[in-house]
Formats: sequence, structure tokens, C-alpha cells
Amino acid sequence: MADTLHIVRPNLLLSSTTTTPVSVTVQSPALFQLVEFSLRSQERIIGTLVGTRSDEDGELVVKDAYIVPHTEEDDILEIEDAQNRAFFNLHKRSNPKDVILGWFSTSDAIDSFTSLIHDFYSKTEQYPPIHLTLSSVSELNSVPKINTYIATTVGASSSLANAIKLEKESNYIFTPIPNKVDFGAQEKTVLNQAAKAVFGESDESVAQLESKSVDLQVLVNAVNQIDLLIDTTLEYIEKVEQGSIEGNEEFARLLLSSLNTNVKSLNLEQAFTSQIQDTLMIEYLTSSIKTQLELSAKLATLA
Amino acid sequence: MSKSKAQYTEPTTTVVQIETSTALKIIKHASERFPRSASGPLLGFDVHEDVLKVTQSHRFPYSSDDESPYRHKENGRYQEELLEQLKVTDGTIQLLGWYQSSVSGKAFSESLVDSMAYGQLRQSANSVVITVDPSKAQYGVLSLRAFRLTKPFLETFIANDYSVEQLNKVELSFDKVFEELPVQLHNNYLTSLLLAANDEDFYHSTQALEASSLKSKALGTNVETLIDSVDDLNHLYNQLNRKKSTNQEVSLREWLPLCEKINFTAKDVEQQVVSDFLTDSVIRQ
Repeated sequence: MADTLHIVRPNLLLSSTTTTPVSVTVQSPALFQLVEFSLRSQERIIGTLVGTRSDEDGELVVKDAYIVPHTEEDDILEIEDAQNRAFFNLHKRSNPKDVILGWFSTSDAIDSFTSLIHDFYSKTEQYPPIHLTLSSVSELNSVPKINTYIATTVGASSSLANAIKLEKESNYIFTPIPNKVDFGAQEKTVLNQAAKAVFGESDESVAQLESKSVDLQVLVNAVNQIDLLIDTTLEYIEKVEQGSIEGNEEFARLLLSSLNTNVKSLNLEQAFTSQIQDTLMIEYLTSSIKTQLELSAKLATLA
Repeated sequence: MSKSKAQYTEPTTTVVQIETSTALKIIKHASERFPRSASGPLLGFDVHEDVLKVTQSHRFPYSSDDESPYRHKENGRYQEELLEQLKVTDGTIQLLGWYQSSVSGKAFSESLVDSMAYGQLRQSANSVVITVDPSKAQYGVLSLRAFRLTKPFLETFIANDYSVEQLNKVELSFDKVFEELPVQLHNNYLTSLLLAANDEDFYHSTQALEASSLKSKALGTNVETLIDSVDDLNHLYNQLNRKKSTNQEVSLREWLPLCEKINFTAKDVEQQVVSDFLTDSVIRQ
């Protein structure tokens, strides 16, 4: 017990209107962007995280990130705030809803500079910033991993430190908070293609995209995949029937439940026709609106 | 654009290679904005032999279907300031064209051709436009295509001579205005690691397709935008009509005091103005 340090969560220190982040969602474009940044230099790269903040449940969504140049020399840290501001203003122009959420570092080390940089972001931002680290640069063969932290001040804060004439100002204790990466259905279409280069037979870094009849190819792939699935399932069932392997009850239940929703009971044809009818209806409505507009335009000029 | 200075230079690249992170950003932007249009500048390098490397993309503050976003004033300023900022962190990165969401080829218009010609003749011979179809992405299909204007078209464009003889001479026909470039996705080794960390099936978005609600949702958004557009149009019409009628009154009021001097009755003047207005509107038609 003697080793335990009790600290207050930052949200208790702040006024009740601001909630501290409890969980962080990193959107996949931001994650890949960070990974790309980390390759630029062996040194630590820092930058700003932008995205949206929900006031209700303290959920943060990291949407994008950009690099802010800085220099570390001995124990002097310089961050180019002007660059940071200028870039954020640019970002804000095309993404009006985004705010600065915190900062990232491409090294997973938490050292004295971490506190200094965090101090910089705490002072410039209204909300307590988060800190995100990407561990990958040091070890070449490890999968890039994201850690997110919130920080609590320990020791005297700046005003108090001045009052009692302390030379050293407060420091931070970083507490990990949960994070997850969000892969949207649309982003998976890109990753699916990019993964082809990784899982393909020749180990390449480049994936060629098809330009013509992409829809058809996806359909063909999907049908092939289903075909493969059915084959493996059949094989499995046969093996179970022969008694060469033991059947899994859960899997059997799943199979049984999917048998209940077979094609006949779904009435595929009806579903298909109603879908087509819906589409035709929309098309009809669109064209009638168009005609009416053209008509009224003619009438307006005649009147 | 002063046409005398423009000169065609042969592009040095024939393949477009997009960083996976950049492609993700483009798709994300296009899907977020769908069914409205989305666009943004493409940045990267064309120094590698034969390969145009697109390493960054951002979002244009302003996008519209009607005019090309590339030449829009505000976007132009945004682009300049962005390049200025990136010089500090990214060194020699340069502008390589732009991306644009295009549902069923909707983006291809006269203004796109104009901006493309500007990009290829004035900025970089390697400029491309990348079109992305967000409606397809909803169904789990990736459609990223890169286009560039062809040599015969640009030569005709510079000469500004669209006569049959010229078209025959350079062998230009409607299907030879654009050339399509093959598009590749490039993974750096960390991206590859990250991708390999998940199972291959993880990236198949068949689950998203199962939900039939997705289709009705897409249909719903389409109908909503349609209704919005009709409302907008209606509003514009009303405004226009109001403007027209006030114009008429103003001109009447201007004319009325004059007619007393020259012995015309107010009725004459009114008739004159109305007939003027009618001929005007007939001409405008």
C-alpha cells in the first residue's frame, strides 16, 4: 500500500461543465497518417491531434493530425506555436467543426520533455488535452500501437509555485485511457485493396487498383468467397458425420438458425421486385419533378 | 489566361501511386460529404521515374458540383497558404492536381476540363484529377480513378481551334480527351505491418452489405437532397420573380414624372415599359 500514489482524476479538479475524456476513438485515416509521420524521422516527431469532442460522454474522435516542428536541446524545448496556429486555422477552414484535442508523439517514451510539451498544450487549450503515443520507431518489427493518456498535475501549480517561491513548477502524471480504432465500411474498401499487397503471394508494397468494372469484380469475389465458405462448411459437416472430428455445438446451433432463414422463407423474389419498384418510383418522381420544373420555367418566361 | 505563353510539355509519369493513408482520407471525405460533392488538393512528388507519388491530400473548404473546385477563389487561396505551411514540414512537396467525388462520372464537365488544362499547362505537366465514387464505397466497392488530358486535346486547346480540319489533323475525338492512368496504392512497411496485424477477412466489408437498411438509407438521403434542391430552386425562383416585379415598379416610377413634361399619358409609358420588359425577357430566353 505504501507504494501506491493516490491522485485525483483531472475531472474533479476542473469545473463541472468540462468533462475529461474517458475514451478515445481514432479514425483509421488518422491512424495511418500517424504511422506515416513516424517513418519520417528516427527522432521524436510531435504534432497536434484534431477532431471532435463530445461534451456528454467525454468521447473524443481523432480525425486528423499534423506535425508541429520542435527542437529538443539539453533541457530546452522549443515548439513553433505560430506554425501550429497557422495550420490549425487552415484545417478549420475546411473542417469548421474540428477542435484541437491534444498532441501526439511518435515515440512511446514518457520523459521530462513529455511534461513540458503537455504543459504547452494545456496552456493553449481550453480543455484538458490528451496525449497519444505511437510505439513503433524504436522496434522495427513491432506492430504500431497506440497509447492514449490524460495527465494530472502533481505538485504546486504555476501560481502557487510563484507564491511560495518554488523554482520548479508542477509536473504531470500520465494515466492511460482506453482507445479504439474505428474502421468504417467505406475505409475498409481501401484497406481491402491495400491488404491485397500484404497478403498476396509476392510480397510487395504496391497494390494495383482495377479501373474498369470494379463492381462486377467485387461481386465475383464475394460470390467466390461464399462458395468457398459453403465448401468448407460442407467438408466440416461430412467430417463430423463420419466421426473423425468432434462437432461444435455452438456452430451447429448457428447453422440451424441460419437454415431457418433460408431463401424461400425470405421470399427473395418479392424482396427483389419491391426494391426495383422503389428505385423505379424514385426515378419516376425525379423525372416528373424535372418536367414540372422545366414547364414552370417556360411558363415563367412567357407570363 | 494568356494563351500565347501556354505550351504543352510531355508528362514524365504514367502511373499514379497513392499512399494508403491518403487514399483513406480521400474516401473518408467523399463518404462523409455524400451525396454532396467533396474535393481537395493532391500533394506529392513527381521526381520518381514514371511514378507520380501522391503522399498527402487535404480538404477544400468549398466544393460544388456545378463548377470545378480547383479554380475557385477561396480554394486557390487555401491551396497557396497550405503549400506555404507545408514547406516547413514537408520540404519540396508540390501540387499535383486535385481529387473530386464523382457519382457515375458526374464530375466531368466543361469547368473540369478548363481547370485540368490550367493545371497541366500552368502548374505541373504531371497534374492529374482523381475521381472517387462514394456511392460505390457505400456498397463496399472502391472506385478511385486518375485522369489527365491528352496531348491532342491540349494542343487543340492551346490553339483554340476546334475546326474539323484541326481535329482531324491531331486525330482528336470525344473519347480521346481524357486518358486514364493506372492507380496503385502504396503501403510503407509500417502500414503493411498494421494491415497484416488483422486477419485478411477483417477488411472485407460484407457485413455492411448484409444490412438492407443501408440501401434504404442511401435512397433516403438521395430523396432528402432532392427535396432540398427543389426547395432551393423554388426559393431562387421566388427571389427572381420578386426582383423582376420591383424592377418594373422602379422603372415605372422613374418614367412617370418625365411623361408629364413631354405630354405622354402615364398609360403610354406603362405600356412602353411593359413592352420593353417583354422584349427583354424574350431576348434573355
